[in-house]
Amino acid sequence: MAQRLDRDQIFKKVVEILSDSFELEPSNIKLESTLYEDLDLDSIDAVDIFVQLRDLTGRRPDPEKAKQIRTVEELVSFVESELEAAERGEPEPETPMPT
Amino acid sequence: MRADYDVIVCGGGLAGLTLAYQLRNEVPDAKIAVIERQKRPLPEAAHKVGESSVELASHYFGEVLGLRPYLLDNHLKKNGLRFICGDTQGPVEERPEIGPSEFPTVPSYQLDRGKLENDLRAMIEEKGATLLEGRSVKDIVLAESDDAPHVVQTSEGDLTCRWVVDATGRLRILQKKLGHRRPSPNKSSAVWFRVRERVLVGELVPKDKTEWHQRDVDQVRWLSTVHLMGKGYWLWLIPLSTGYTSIGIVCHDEHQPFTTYNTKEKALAWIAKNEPRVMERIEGLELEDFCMMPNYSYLTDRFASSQRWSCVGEAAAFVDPLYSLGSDFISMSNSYTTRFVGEYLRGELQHEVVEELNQIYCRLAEDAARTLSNNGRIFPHGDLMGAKLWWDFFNYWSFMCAHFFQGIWRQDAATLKKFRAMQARFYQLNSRAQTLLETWAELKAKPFGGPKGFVGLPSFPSTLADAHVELKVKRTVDETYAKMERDLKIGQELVTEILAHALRDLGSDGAAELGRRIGLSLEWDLPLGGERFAVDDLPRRQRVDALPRIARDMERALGRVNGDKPLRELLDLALAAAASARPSAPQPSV
Repeated sequence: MAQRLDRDQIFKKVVEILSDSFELEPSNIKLESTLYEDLDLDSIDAVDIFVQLRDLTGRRPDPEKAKQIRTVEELVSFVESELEAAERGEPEPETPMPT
Repeated sequence: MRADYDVIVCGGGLAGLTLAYQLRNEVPDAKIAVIERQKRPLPEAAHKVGESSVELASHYFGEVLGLRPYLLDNHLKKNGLRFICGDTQGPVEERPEIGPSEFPTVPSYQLDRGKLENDLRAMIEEKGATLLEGRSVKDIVLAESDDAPHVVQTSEGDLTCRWVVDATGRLRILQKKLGHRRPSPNKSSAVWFRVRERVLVGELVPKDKTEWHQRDVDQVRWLSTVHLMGKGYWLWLIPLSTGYTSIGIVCHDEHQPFTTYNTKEKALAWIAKNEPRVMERIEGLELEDFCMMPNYSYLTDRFASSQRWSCVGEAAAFVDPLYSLGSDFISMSNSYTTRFVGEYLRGELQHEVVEELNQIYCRLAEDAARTLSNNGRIFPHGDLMGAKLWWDFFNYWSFMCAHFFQGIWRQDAATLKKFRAMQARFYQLNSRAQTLLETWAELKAKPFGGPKGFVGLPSFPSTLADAHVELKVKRTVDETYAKMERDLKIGQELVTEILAHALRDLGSDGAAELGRRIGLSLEWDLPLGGERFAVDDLPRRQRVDALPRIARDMERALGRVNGDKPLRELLDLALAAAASARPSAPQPSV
């Protein structure tokens, strides 16, 4: 596997996903932006975000953890911990994607 | 009437064998014989197309025939259909990929035909059918009166029966004799072969392209029927349970003449030229069972008659391999025939029922042929192919699958007639959808359109995912009809979305031409007035809240290209151009 992404790179990737998918201005996406209020996303958007993050992490996200994410920064931390878990070879959660 | 058998099935391929199995299950008093030229054992990984089943046939094999445990133990579970469009000369990981992201809820299978047919022969004997192997059918002589048996002339003498089934495949003995063959609009040809190892689509992409590989979280991409799509052709990769891989080339004759790939050497040169990434992988492997089928598609205007005969599987019609519908048509012709035979032997067969089901069957084949012809220009474009697949799957699940899964074909003549009228409405909408897609492809300026990366087919959650899951819901006849009404309305919205994507993509230059060529009209049963077109240019959040659900689904799946003018204006351009091209048509008032 390629070298693991650092926080900055993950943030850039998250900004790219959010701006490409939801017609958002990249400069408006900040670490402290809240997904549902500042960026005006909804639950279906959230599902699409996690589907795209799956390509990045190669892991099915834990829906319980995913549901608690409120800000871009929390999203970055989530991806970071998923990448670490992938590197440790931790098994994925059994539960399917939230729908 | 004295006869050797109640039913003689001429031909013991997949259609004939599964029919015999179904007859033994559902009409246990009937005395059945299957006549088959080829003796056992058949070679595994035998050279036949039709290794892959989709929802309808999977339901037939698994649930109607009750073979689900056998299939799960002996064949591969299939991960749907997967399409890779885009630049065939470039890296595979940069081509748009359309397919399921996980195993579909309604199962389907990759069948090894040689193994399946060997096993089915043993199973039907165990069920009490007579299998006459090593005999060939010379002719079928239909009775001249209702109380005389039909005569099947074989290499080992004549046999008589009350009901005769032609399952002789492309020989089509009865169709030829009775003049029921009809040409198909689909002018295409195919070759295929096997290699003695697994050729995985993942092997076409370097290991360090982790994003592409990680998209496939469960590592089940290879269990799909993979189609590498180019202009006017596709190449298939199908894994078989015996460890082989089936590889096939299918071309529309207008784009790629059959003579450019109809030998082993030419086929390899064709692959090297058209799909170089595949060639790099299979270089040096031995090709086994090289087979070919020029101009493979044909239709029928009658597959069965109350004069006690029916044609099943390819002895009736063959549409196209793209969506693996061959075994779907086996499933329907077999099930309808089983019904006819049972009712005939009980003295209950009604001519009207045979006529209704005959019309439904022939119309379904014609509809599928419409869906699968003249579309070669669509194949390279991820957005167009994605739009087509969304519509085609929705259409397939909404009528053809629903009528079969819900047992509509077991109903009385009046009910069948009502559903046949519903079928005609889906048919008309499909015809418009196909014309729209083909014309969009003709007018598209870019060589490869559409989203980079992955398009979920279906994506979750979405209207399409619901339509798939709904297949498993058991409904009454009235509920099924009401569901079809609702689906028809969603279908109209879906086709309207395809129109919206096409108009924005083609912009003001192409919109008028699109409207003119397809003859777009407010008379069409599409929601062209009202809110839909007015809200299209609102900022995303407001737009998403105002649009129907299907519009959002399509945007999520296919991405969004903004037009050079607001959608409302593009639509008006298209309508005006269509109106002025119509003779003596009034100007549109929109």
